[in-house]
Order: sequence, then C-alpha cells, then structure tokens
Amino acid sequence: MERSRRGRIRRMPSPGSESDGSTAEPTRKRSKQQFVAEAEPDFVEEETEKYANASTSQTARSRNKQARQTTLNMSQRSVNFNLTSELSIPNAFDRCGKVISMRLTNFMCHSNLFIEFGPNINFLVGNNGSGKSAVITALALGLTSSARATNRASSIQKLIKNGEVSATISITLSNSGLRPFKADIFGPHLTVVRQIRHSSSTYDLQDARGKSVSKKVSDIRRMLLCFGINVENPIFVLNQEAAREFLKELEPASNYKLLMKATQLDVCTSSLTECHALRRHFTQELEQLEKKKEMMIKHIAAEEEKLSILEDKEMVKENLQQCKTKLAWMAVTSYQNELNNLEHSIKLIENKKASLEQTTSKKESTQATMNQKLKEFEASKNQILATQKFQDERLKTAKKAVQDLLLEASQVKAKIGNAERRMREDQRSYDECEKLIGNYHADFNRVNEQREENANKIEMLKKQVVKSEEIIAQLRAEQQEIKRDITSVQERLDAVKNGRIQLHKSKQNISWEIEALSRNKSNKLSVYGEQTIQVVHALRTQYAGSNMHRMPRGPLGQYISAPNPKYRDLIENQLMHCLRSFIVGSDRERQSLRALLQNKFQGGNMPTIITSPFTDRVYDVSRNKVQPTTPNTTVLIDEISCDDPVVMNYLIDILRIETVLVTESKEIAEFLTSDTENVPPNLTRVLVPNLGLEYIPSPNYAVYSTRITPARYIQKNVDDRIRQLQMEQSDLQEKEPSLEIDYMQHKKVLENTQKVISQKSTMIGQHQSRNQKAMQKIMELQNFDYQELPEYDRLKSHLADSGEKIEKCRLEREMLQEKLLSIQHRQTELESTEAEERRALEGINKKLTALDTEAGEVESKMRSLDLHYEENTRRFQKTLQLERKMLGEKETVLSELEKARTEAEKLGEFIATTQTEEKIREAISRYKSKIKQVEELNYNPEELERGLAELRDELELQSRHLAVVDSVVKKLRMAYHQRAQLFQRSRHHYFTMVQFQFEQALAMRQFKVSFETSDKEKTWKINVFPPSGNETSNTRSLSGGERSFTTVSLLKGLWSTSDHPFYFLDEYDVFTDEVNRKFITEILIGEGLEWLSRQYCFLTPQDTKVEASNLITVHKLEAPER
Amino acid sequence: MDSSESQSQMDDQDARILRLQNLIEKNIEIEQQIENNTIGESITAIEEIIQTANDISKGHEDRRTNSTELVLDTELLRRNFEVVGKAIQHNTNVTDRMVATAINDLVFKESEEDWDALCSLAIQFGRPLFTNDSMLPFIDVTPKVVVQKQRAPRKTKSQVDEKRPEKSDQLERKDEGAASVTHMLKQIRQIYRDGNQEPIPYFKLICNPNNFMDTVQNALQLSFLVKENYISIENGEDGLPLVRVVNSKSVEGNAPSQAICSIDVTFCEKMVKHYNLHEPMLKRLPVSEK
Repeated sequence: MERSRRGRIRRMPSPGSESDGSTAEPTRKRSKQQFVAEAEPDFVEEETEKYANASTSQTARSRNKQARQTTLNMSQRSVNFNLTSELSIPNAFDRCGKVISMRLTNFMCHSNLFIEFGPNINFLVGNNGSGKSAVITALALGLTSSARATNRASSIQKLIKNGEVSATISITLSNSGLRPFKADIFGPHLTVVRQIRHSSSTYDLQDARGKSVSKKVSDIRRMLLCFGINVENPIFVLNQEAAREFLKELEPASNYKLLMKATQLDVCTSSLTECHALRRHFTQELEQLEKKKEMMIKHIAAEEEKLSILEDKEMVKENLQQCKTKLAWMAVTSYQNELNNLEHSIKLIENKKASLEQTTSKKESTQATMNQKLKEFEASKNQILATQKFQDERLKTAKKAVQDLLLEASQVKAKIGNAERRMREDQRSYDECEKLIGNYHADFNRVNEQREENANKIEMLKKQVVKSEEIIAQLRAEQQEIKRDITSVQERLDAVKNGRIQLHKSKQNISWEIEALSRNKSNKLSVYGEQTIQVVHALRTQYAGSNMHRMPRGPLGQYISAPNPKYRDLIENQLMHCLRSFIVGSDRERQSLRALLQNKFQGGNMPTIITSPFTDRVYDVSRNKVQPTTPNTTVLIDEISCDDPVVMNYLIDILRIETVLVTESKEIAEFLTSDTENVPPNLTRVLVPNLGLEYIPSPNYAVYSTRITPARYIQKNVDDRIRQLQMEQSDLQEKEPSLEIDYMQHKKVLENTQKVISQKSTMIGQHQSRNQKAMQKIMELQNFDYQELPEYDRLKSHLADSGEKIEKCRLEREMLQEKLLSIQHRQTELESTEAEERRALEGINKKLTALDTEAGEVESKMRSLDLHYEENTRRFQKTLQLERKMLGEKETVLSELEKARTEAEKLGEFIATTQTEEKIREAISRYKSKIKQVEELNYNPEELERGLAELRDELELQSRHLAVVDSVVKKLRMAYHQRAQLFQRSRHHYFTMVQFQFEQALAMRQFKVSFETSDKEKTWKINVFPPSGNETSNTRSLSGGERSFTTVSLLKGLWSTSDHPFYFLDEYDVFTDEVNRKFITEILIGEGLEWLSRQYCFLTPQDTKVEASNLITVHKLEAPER
Repeated sequence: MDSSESQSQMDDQDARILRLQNLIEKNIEIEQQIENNTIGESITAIEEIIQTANDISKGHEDRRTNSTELVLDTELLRRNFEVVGKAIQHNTNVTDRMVATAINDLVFKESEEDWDALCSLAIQFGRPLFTNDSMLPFIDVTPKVVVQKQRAPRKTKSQVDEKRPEKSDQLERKDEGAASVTHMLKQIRQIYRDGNQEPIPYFKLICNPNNFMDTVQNALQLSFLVKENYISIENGEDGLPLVRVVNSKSVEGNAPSQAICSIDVTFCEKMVKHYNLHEPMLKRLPVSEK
C-alpha cells in the first residue's frame, strides 16, 4: 500500500490533493467504525447501556468535529495552493453522482470491504467467488433498489453474511459539478448508508462532514433524481444475470424493451401515462366543481326569492286594505237588496191574508145546507132498498123454475139418443138379412158346383200319385242293381290302377338299382346298397390294426357263397332274412354299431343286428349231422361255403343247416319223411328246389309249398345281377301296355255306369217332385173352406124380428120428441118471465146507484169543507206570523244597514267593483297567508341582505376557483400534448442514433447489420452478419466471441443516447476468446476516454493487458478463502 | 468549428437542464406548502412553472445527444399534474386532516375527553348486525400464555480487519492472449522474409515434433491471424496448404473460405517425416512469473 501511494505521489501532478485525501481517510475510518459500534445494540431492554453508548458517541463526535475542522483548513490551503500553481487542471470528481467510494460490512461474502473508485475508468478483477458482483449488488441496493431487481436474492435479508445479524452498505457520491443537490448545505460529497437487518431496512443520508441529514427514502430519491441516477436501468448497472440474458437470446421483444430502457424513454412513457390518468381525474373534479357551482347558484336564487318576498310585504298590505273596503261596501249593497226583497214579500203576504179571511167566514152556513140534503137522500134510499128485496126474491124463483126445466129436457134428450142408436142397429141387421135372402139361391148353386169339381180333381190327383209312386219304385230298384254293378266295376278299376302303379314303382326301383350297381361294379357289396358299402368302410377304418378280429361281421351275405349253381337260389331263399344283417360280439359294440347304422341309413330300412359270440373255429357238427341215404340227396351244410367261422357258427345255431336234406325228386322226399321207419336220424326238413316243396318228417308229417325267387345277393359277379335286373325291367315294360289298355277300358265302363245312375236319379227326382205337387193340391182341395149358408127360414124369422124392433124404436122416439117440445115451450115462457123480472131489478139498482152517488158527493163536499177550513185557518195563522217576522227582519236589516254604512264610510270612500264576493274573499285570504308566512319566517331584511352578499361572494370565489382550475387543466393538457408529440419525435430520433452508433461499432470489424423496428408490436429485430459467415445468418447463429462483440457494440450504441454519472458492467467478456477480448477491452477503454465526464467500472474474472494510467484504475480482489 | 458548436449546444442543453431541475425543486416546494396556501396561490404558482417549462421546451432541438432533458421535462409535467390534483382535492373535498380536526373538536372540549358524544352521533347511522347466540357456547376462548424468554448473554462484536483491493500498475499475462498471437505473427513474418518471399508450408509451420499440444496451439493461434487477414492460406502444387503473408496490394484478391482438416499424432508424425523436421519453426513466448 505504501508503495502504491508513493508511486501515485510521483506521477500525480498535484501532490497537494493527494496529501489532502490521505489525511481525510483516517478520519472517515474512525467515524464509520464508531457508527458501526453504535449500530450494534438492538435490544430494547438494555436502555442503560444505550445511554452509555450515546454518551460515548457524543464524545466521539466532538472529537470528529475537531478533526474535521483541521481537515477543512488543510483542504482550503491545498485549494489555494492549486489555484495559484495549476489553474488549468480540473478536479478529479467534477460531476455530481459519481461513486467516490464504497464500504460493505457483513454484506454477502464481504466482512469489511472498502473500495475507492477512480473518476473515469475502473477495472475490478478477481477470480470467481471473490465478490466482484457483490459490489454491483450493493450499489443497486444502496441506491434504493429492491433485492428482487438485482436477481441475486428474493429478499434483502438473504444478502446478510451467514452468521451475522446485520449488514451495512455505505456509498459516497460526488456532489460537486453541474447539478449539485444542495451543495452549499451538504458539501462536496454525500454518503448514503443503508442498514439491513433481519426484520427491517433503514436509510441514512449523511453530508460531507458525516452528519446525518435525513432518514427519508423520498429525500434520497430526490437526490438521485437531481443526479440523474437510475440504478435499475440495465445499461447503467448491468449485472451478470442480465448480461447472460442479453447474450443468450437477443429476442426482438427484449431488444425493444432494452432500447426503451436504455434511452430512458420508458421513464418518459410512464410519466406521460400517469399524466393521462390524472387528466381524466381532473375532468371528474371539474364536473364536481360545476355541480357545486350550480348548487350555489340555486341557493342564491332561493335567498333572492326570500328577499323579494320581504320587499313585497308592504304592497300586499295595501292590497289587503283595498279588499277590505270593497268587502264592506259590498255588504252595504247586499243589505239594501235584502231590504227591498223583504218589502216585496210583505206586500204579497198581506194579499194572501185577505183572501184567507174571506174563505173561513162561510163555513157554517154551507155545512147546514149539506146536512139537510143528506137526510133526504137517506129516506129515499130506504124505500128503494125495500123494493129491491122483493124484486130480488121473484127473480130467484123464476131462475129456479127455468133450471128445473133445463134438467128435465136434458134427460129426455139422452133417452132419444139411446132409442135412435137401437133403431140404427136393428136397421143394419134388417138390411143384411134382406141382402142374404136376395143372394141365397145363386150362392148355393155355385158352391155345389165347386164342391163337385174339387172332388173330381182330388180323385184324378190320387190316381196320378199312385202311378208316380209305382214308377219311382221301379226306377229305384233299377238304380240299386246298377249300384251293385258299379261297386264291382270300381273294384276292378282300382285293382288295375294299383297294378299299374306297382309296376311303375318296380320299374323305377329296378332302374335305380341298376344305376347304383353300374356306379360300383368293382365292389361286390354294391348289391347290398351304397349305405352298406359306407358302413363296411367305416367299420374297417374303426377296427383297423390289432382289433381286426373284433370287427362286426356284416353284411353276412358277403361271407356266404354257393359252389353248386343249382342250389344258389335255394340257399339264398333259405338265408334271406339274415343276409343283410351284422353280427357283433358284445352289447357295447352293438350300441356303437347301431349308432353308425342310424347315421348311414337315415331313410329307414336299417339292417338288423345279431349278437353272437365270436369264435375262431367252426363248430364240429359231425355227430348231429344227418346222413343222406338215398341218391341225388345232399345235406344243406355241404352246399354252403363260408369264409368266416363266426358266420358259419351263427348259421348252424339258428338255422340248423346240418339237419336239412336237399333232394331233386319228390318221391325221394316223400319216402324219407312219410314213414317213421325211413326217417334218418337228426333230420328236420327235406327241400325240393325245383318244385318249391318243403317236407316235415313224421310223426309231424307235413308238406309246404314255397316260392323260390331268383338269387340277388349270393353272386360272384355284379354284371350278372345287372343283366338279370335288365331282363326283369324288359318284362315289366312288356306288361305295361296291356295294363294301360285294361285300365282305359275299365275306366270307360265305370264312367258309363255312373252316367246311367245319374240319369235314373234325375228321373226319380222328377217323378218325386211331380208327386209332391199333386199331394199338395190334394191337401189344398181337401182343406178348402166352403162358404157357409144359413137356412132360409131362420133368415126370414130374423128379418121379421128386426122389423118389429125398428117400429118400436120409432114410436118411442116420437113420444120422446113430443115430450121434449112441450118442455121447450114451457122453458120459453119461463125465460120471458125471468127477463122481465131481471129488467125490473136492474131499474131499481140504477136508481139506488144514482142515490148513492149523490149522497157520496154531498159527503165529500162536507168533508172537503172541513179540511179546507182547518188548512185555511193554519195558513192564516202562519201568514200572520210570517208578517210579524218579516217586519222584525226589516227593522233588523235597517239597523244593520246603518251600521255597515257607517263602517264603510270609516274605511274609505265607495269603490265600485265588478268582482264577486268569493273572489274578493279569496284575495283577502291569499294576502293574509302571505303576510302570515312572512311573519313566521322572522326574516330580518338586513340579515338577508348580508347573507346574500356572503353567498354571492362565495359564488364568486367558487367561480374564480373553477376558472383557475379550468385554466390550469387546459394548460396542462396542452403541455401534455406537446410532450407527447415531442416524445414520439424523440423516440424516432434516438432509435436512429442507437442504430447508427451500433452499425458504426460493428463496422470496425466488417460486421454488417440490419434492423426491423415496429413500435406497435414493440419489437426490434437485429440481424447481424459476420464477415466470415453466410448472408442468411442471424444473431442466434453467432459464435460466442462474435456474440459478445455484438453485445458490447450494442451497449456502445445505447450509451451514446444516454448520460449517466456512472456505468457498471459485469461479466462483459463472457464467452470471449483472447482476440475478441482484446478488441472489446479496447472499445470500452476508447469509450471511457471519449466521455471523460462519465465513470466506468468493468468487472471481469480474466486478465487482459491493461496499463494503469491517470484515467484508468485497476483493482484486484483477493481470492476467496476456500 | 464543430467542437465549438457542439460545446455551445452542450452549454445550452446544460442550462436548460439546470432550469428544469430548478423548476422541479419549486414544484416540490409548492407541494410541501400546499396545505398552507390557498388553491389560487398554488395553482397560480403551478401555472407559472408550466409557462416557464413551455418556454424552455421551445428551445428544444430534435437532434439532442441524450434524453436527460426529455426525462426531466416529463417528470416535471407529471409532478405538476400531481400537485394540481392535490390542490384540488385539498380545497374541494374532505381530507383526513379535516376529519381529524372535526373529531378533535367534538371529543376534546375544554380539556375533557368525551368519546360518547362521537358515539351518540355515529350510532344514528349505524345498523345492528345479527349474532347467533347459540354459537357462543362453542367458542373456546383460552387466554394466550405468554412465555417470557430468558435474557441472552450479550455478544461482543469483534473488530474485523479492513480489506482493500490491490492496486496494480498494469495487468498483463504475457504467455496468453493477444501477446502470444502477436509474437507468432512476428515470427511468421521473419520466416517469410528469410525464405525470400516464398510461401511457407502450413503443416511444416505448425508442427512441433517434440510436443503435440504445441502443434494444436499453433494451429489455433494461426487461425486468428488468418481471420484478421494478416496471413492467407492457399493450395500448393502438391495439394498441401501454403501460408503467405498478406500485403496491402494483394488484399483485394483474397476471399473468405472454410477448410476442415483433422490433425492427430499419427498425422503429425507423418508431416514431420515428410518435411524432415527436427526443431519447430514457431516458438512460444516464455512464461513470465507473476
């Protein structure tokens, strides 16, 4: 350390400044150490110790003050010295915001690190893990950045060194230059201290003397704004994570975002966006102010209305007085009118009174006259009533007589009706008798003739019936005979028909058999049928090999043969029933064979199955064998040859072929069997083949005749069988035509016979129908009903009786009519009498009615007089009262008229008006209510005036307020629009500058580049073409070194459009090789030398050839402790 | 002439930046005094700032070098909007301060504290909330037991020595990087000059018969020289590549191309035999001790 300081002293042109720095540093160290000591106690319980520490710190601070005073004196001297000796040399940190030094305590991997930065270019070199990046992280955190933004930790507490309680970041910034932050107060440099604990984080801003100025974050941010520091911008402080991100992808969207951040246009964008939001808020505020103003205006209007009401009060009172005067005079007028009406009424009443007096005075005289008239009417009435009674009795008597006559007349009329009815009946009977007598003779003759005729017809019909019946009997007998014949004819026809059918079937069977044999000529079993061939084949397949000896034998015919042709047919006939059979040895085999046969012989006609023991040798039958004793005689067993012993044994057991003899002549057979002496031993039968005879030996001697058919199974050659069948077929064909002819003939005979029978049946039917008709006629004639005729005498007597009855009735009727006429005459007389009596009574009644009417009239008059009198009296009294009352009212009205006139004269002169009383009263009530309302308000005009003035002042104030706000909002809006347009132009300009500078930087090594910018999509696409690559390459295909070079060139372009006190670049030479690293380092150094007002710091783990100079400082960090 | 013009532009820009900075300071002062002044005074002051800012922006030029001025201008506009908003809100709406003042006037009267007055006023606008009494027995309320921690012994903080990064006069590794490439270029030029301007066989140049790794290193460093167009490689008559030093006259004739070849120990030995090498033509820089 001493060497470096001495070296610096030699090179520095101003030794005074160096000595000044060296003297200042120990003072800072001491003060910071004490500050660290102060920060240690964080327990609340240890208050006493805290007070002790405070006192200690106070003592330390007093010492610091003395030291700083000395320092200031020394610096002043050095400044004076510099000014006098070297005026043209600028100060090292001549810009506000540059980082002078940094101290990290317990931060990440550093326990206590202090770095002094150079003012222009700094290289911070160290191995991996030495803590280079921690410096950048501390810089960002110390200047109000968040831990998350540094990409090193999610919370700031995780950056405290392991095992420690708290960490401290202390950054000293320059405050001398173009834009100082209260330099006159705080001094040439400021220190930001950030204390990081597990539970909190605090800031402290200290001035050049180490005194705490403020602990607010907002003040620190104000300072940063003044210096133009923005640590979250990646091009100002590019940490290694951000570097990897850019180097890795270079995506268009991230490029655009980087471009906006680099040129600080994103800060402008956020500011303008916030302004836009606030402007909308201002619009709402203005609306509220407008509403408030309107409310105030309404309030003022209400107050003005109240004031106007007060002003109108006096006029309302005057109007009220006028209305009252009008009302008074109107009352006077109404009273006068009323008085006039009363006088008129009084006159009318007086007239009425006079008329009523006249009416009441005539009552008594009129009433006396009326009473006299009534008495006279009463006497007349009594006389008339007596006459009426008498006349009434007479009338009743006359009515009764008339009524009795009427009753008698009705009885007579009834009798007359009965007599007429009886007479009418007798007359009808009489007329009928006359008719019968007149027609008697003619009817009688006609009936007799008809009777005879019918009798003749009946006889003829009976004869006819007898004949018909005879004919029918004859025909029926003939028919019976023919029927018997037809039965025999039918039988013959059926026989011929059946024969024909059988012939046809036999022919067909033979043809089928021939066809089958033709198909299987080579197989001897074909004569037994195809099914048998299949069964034998299946059995051989099933019992092949060692089980051959157990195979069922069958059909048996295949094992049997006849050596002598003469006896072939005989043998077959004897063995016919078993030639198609099969022999099995056990029941199990029997069942299996049965299943096989059922399967093959599905159409029926299945061969039989015989169970017999299987043996290897033929039975020895020599002892039981019959011996032939005559010539031309052989034993049947000798004529049969059999290959299989099982079959041979079966024949011996069942048929006993060893006991049968065969002979050629009949005599020999009879000789052997007819006599018991001639019968040889063991003989059972004797056969004669050519004659078809069978002899049973005695003692059961018998002779049977059998038919021997040609052999069909026991043959050696199939062709012989075929020829035989063909011969049979030809024979059948010869027979067929003759049968056909016979059939036709018999058919014709049958038809003729049937025809005859039908004809006879028809004739019988006809005769029967004819006979039936005749019988019906006979019955009809027999049942004919002849007209009955009464006797003539009876008719005559009956006629006389009827005539007599008629006369009697006529006489009776005449008598009754005469009686009726007399009664009617008497009735007429009585009726005239009654009419007279009735007329007299009516006259009397009329008189009586007239009298009653006149009496009623008189009474009504008297009653009306009474009523009128009472009423007129009541009216007279009322009239008097009314007259009295009217006079009183007249006096009252007069008095009131005088009073009203007096009052009206007091109120005022007479005022003529056309308004009605109601309207005047309404006006009066309205004016009163107004006056009352005003009085209730208790308003003081002066107070109202004053309140109104205040309200108007307030309204004026609000209006001015609104006007001021409106004007400022408009101005802000105009300013916003101006800035927005300026922003857009600047954005285009800065993008162009960045691209130009980027292109220039790449051109140093003959790289080519093209851009595609889109502000809407917010993309900035970069296509870099290295000189050695293809034209179609893009940034992703660049090599590591080329990519790093591109990135540094981009940074150079971005730096050209921004101005920041310091630039920190971490891991700038990642993935670079030696050559590219050299170029990059040269570019960066050139950039630093070009902008002397900026401070650069490059962090790299790799060594590059860099020479320290006046503007370049190289810092080497120690290797980490492993 | 250009420098003087740019200097004048910088001075003008700096002057404008200073003025904008001062306006921002005024804005901050107005914001701090907004509660003491009336709305008219505040807004009048803001209007003056806006007018001044507009005057400053009139001097704006579209070809400025950096966006500091624009940033400050937009920041000032944003602050102006905020201050106006605060002024309007303070004068037209009920603020927390007004509410606090009203509550203090109502509760604290003549040095007596009466919260019932506030409650009686507030209860008129309140509404009762339904409470299910049947749930009360099921509430298990247990007082929290506070366990007092024992006092821990105070730890003594030890003083850590200060560490500073070492400051060196220069930073260089002579055996690596660009120095090595430069050294190789010098050797090749010397060999080319000694060989009477004849092209040098490529494999003869890079092969080291004693150390194969040096052969690989030579090939790598030679590629940089080719890339930077200090030397060029062409095919010879025998099909093997030849190295030629590039002159300014023959630069135009060269074109970039790509060649791939594989080198292993066997191939190297073959080349050594072919060219009858005993010593390498290129020598590396001596390793310098730090």
